[in-house]
Amino acid sequence: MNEAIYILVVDDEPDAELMFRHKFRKEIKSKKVDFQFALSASEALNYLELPAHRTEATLILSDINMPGMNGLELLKVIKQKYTELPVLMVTAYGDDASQQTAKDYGASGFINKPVDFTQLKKDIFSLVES
Amino acid sequence: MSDTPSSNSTPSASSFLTRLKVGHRLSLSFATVLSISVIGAITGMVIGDRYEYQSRQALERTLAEREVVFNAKARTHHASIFQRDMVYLLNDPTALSQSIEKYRKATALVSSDFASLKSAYSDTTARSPEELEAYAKVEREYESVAQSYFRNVEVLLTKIEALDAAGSEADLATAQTLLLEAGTDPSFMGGHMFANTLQELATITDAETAKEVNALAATARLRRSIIFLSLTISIAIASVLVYVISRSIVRPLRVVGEVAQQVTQEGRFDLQAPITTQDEVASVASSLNKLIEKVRSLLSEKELRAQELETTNTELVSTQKKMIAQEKLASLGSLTAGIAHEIKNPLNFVNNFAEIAVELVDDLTDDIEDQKEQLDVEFYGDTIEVLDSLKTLVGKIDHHGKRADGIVANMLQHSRSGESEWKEININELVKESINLAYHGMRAKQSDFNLEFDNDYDDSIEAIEASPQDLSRVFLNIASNACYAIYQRQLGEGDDFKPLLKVRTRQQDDQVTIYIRDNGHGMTPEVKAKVFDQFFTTKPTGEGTGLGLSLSYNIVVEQHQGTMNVESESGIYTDFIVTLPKSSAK
Repeated sequence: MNEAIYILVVDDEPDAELMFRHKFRKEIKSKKVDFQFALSASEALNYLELPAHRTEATLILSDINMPGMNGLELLKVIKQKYTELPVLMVTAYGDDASQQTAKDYGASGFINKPVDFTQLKKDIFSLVES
Repeated sequence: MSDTPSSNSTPSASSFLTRLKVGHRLSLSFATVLSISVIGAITGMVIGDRYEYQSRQALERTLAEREVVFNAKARTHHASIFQRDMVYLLNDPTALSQSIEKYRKATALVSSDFASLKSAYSDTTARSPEELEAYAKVEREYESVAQSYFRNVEVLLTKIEALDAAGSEADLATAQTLLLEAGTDPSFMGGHMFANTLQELATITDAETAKEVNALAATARLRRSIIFLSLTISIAIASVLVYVISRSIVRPLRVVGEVAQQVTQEGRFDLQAPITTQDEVASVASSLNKLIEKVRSLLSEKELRAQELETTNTELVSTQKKMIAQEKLASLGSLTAGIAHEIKNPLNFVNNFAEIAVELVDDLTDDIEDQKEQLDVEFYGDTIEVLDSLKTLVGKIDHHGKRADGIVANMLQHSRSGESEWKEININELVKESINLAYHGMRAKQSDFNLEFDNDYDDSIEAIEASPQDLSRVFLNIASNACYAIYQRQLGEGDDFKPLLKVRTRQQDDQVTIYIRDNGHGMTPEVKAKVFDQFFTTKPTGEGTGLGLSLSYNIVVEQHQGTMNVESESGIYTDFIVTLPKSSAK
C-alpha cells in the first residue's frame, strides 16, 4: 500500500476542492492521498474516459445534488462501466429513499453532510485496504 | 275485568260473531230478523186460519142443528094446535083435507128433523153436558110423548075423515066434539110438551151458537196476537243484533283507530293494533300493523343512514382537517427544507473552513514557536498576540456556524414531520422509550444529574394510530425539558431537593391522555403563554433553538388531531398533558 490513494471528488461547489485539499493537506503532503476534482457528473465521466485516468482513480466521492446529471445517475453509469471502482455518496438530504437507491446501485458508502472528515478518512482507508 | 255482568252474557255470541266477516254478520242478522218476522206472520196466519176454519165449521154445524131444533119446535108447536084451526074448517071439506094434509106433512117433517137431530147428536164431541142432557130428554120424549101424541092425532084425524061433517049436522057435531075434547084431553097434550122440551134444547143451542160466534172472533184475535208477537220478537231480536253487531264492529274499529292515533300523534312505532276478530276489521288492523312496521323500518333505516352520513361526515371533516394540516406542514416544510438546504451548504463551508483556519492558525503558531529564537522579541510577541486573536475569532466563526447548523438541522426535522409513516403503536412503550432516552441523554451531559420516577401506565390502553417517529420527538422534547427544568432547580436548591418525574397514561373513551409532570423550576405565566411559540426558549443562547415544543405542538395538534396543554407553577412544577385520539382519521 505504498501507492497513493487517488480520489476523484465530484461536487458542483468549486470551494469543495479548497476544502478537501486543506482537510487532507497532511495526507497529500505525505503522498498518501491525491485528489482530482470534477464540477459535474459529465466532467467526471469525461475524465474517466481516458484509460490512464481510469486506472489512476482508486475511489470516487460524489455529491448527490448537482445540476444536470445527479450523483445517483452518475453512480449508476460508473457502476455499469467500471464495476470495480468504489463510489462513496455524499449528501445533505440524508433521506432513506436516496440512501436505499445508492445502495441498490452499488455505492460503497453513504456520507451525510456536514462531512465528518475524521470519519471520512477512516472510511476511505478501510475501503481501500479491503 | 271491569266489565259489567250484562256484557258477560254476550262473549260466546260475540266470539262467534267476531269469527264472521262483517258482511256475513249483517246478512246473518238480516236473515234472522226477516225469517223470524216472516215465520211469525205465516205461523199466525196458519194457526189463525186453522182455528177459524174449525170455529166456522163448529158454528155452521151449530147453526144447522139450531135450525133443525127450531124447525122441529115450530112444527111440533104447530102440530100441537092443529084442532083450533080444524074446528073452523069442518064445514069446508077441501080446506079441511088441505089442513090435514098440512099437518101430516108437518109431522113427517118433525120425524125427519128428529132423524137429523139424532144423527147430529150421535157425535157427542165438544158438547156441553146440559146440551147432551137436553137432547137426551128430547129423544126420550120423542119416543114416548111425541110418538103417542102423533098416533092419537092420527086416530082422531082418521075418525074425522070418516065423518061427513059438511054433509050432516050430526057428523059435524061429532067432529066438533072430538076436536074440542082433543083440545082438553091430556093424551093430546104430548105435542105441546115435546115442543116445550124442544124449546129447552133450542135455548141451549142458541147459547152454543153465541159461544161459537165468540170463538170465531177469538181466533181472529189469536191470529192478530201471534203476528203481533212475532213482529215484537223480531224487533227485539233485531235491536239486540244491531247492538251486538255494531259493538262487534265498532269496538275493534275504535281500538284500531286509537292505536293509529297514538302512532301518528305520539310517534310510538312500537305499538301494534290487537287483532281480536277474523273479519274486515282484522284485515284493517293487520294492514295498519304492517304499515306501522313499514314506517318504523323506514324510520330506523333513515336514522341509520343519517348516522352513517354523520359518521362519514365526521370522518371527512377530520380527514380534511388533517389533510389541510399536512398540506400546510408539507408546503411550509418543503419551503423550510429548501431554505435550510440552501443555507446548509454554504454553512458547511463556513464551518469546515473555520475548522481548517483554526488548524492552520495552530500550525502557524507552532511554526513561529519553533522559530522563536531567531525572531525579534517584539515581533514575536505581536505575532503571537495576533495569532491568538485570530484563533479566537475563527473559533467564534466555527462556534456560531455550528450553532446555525444546529438550527438548520432542527428546521429540517420540523419540515420533515408529517411525512413519516403511520402505524398502530403502543403509546405506553413509546412514552417509556422517549423518556428513557431523554433521561440518559441528560445524564450523559450532566453526570451529577439524577431523577426519581413515578410511573403509572394504564395497561388497558389499546393500540393507537400514529406516527411513532414524530410522537417520539414530542415526548423526547417534553422529557428533555423536564430533565432540564429539574436540573436547574437541583442546581439552585442543592441536595435537599428530591427530583421527581411523574408519568401517567390514561384511556378515556376514544382518546388516550399522557401526563408528564416534573417538579422542576416551573414557568411564570408569561413563559407559559409563549411556550409553544416558534423560536421561543428560556435556555441560554446556544443551548435551545426554541423549536422543540412548537414542533411538538404541531405534531400533536395538527398532525394527530390531539391536544397539548401545559399547567405550571413557577418554582414548583410543570405538567404537560397530551391527548391523542385513538384514530385520527384514516
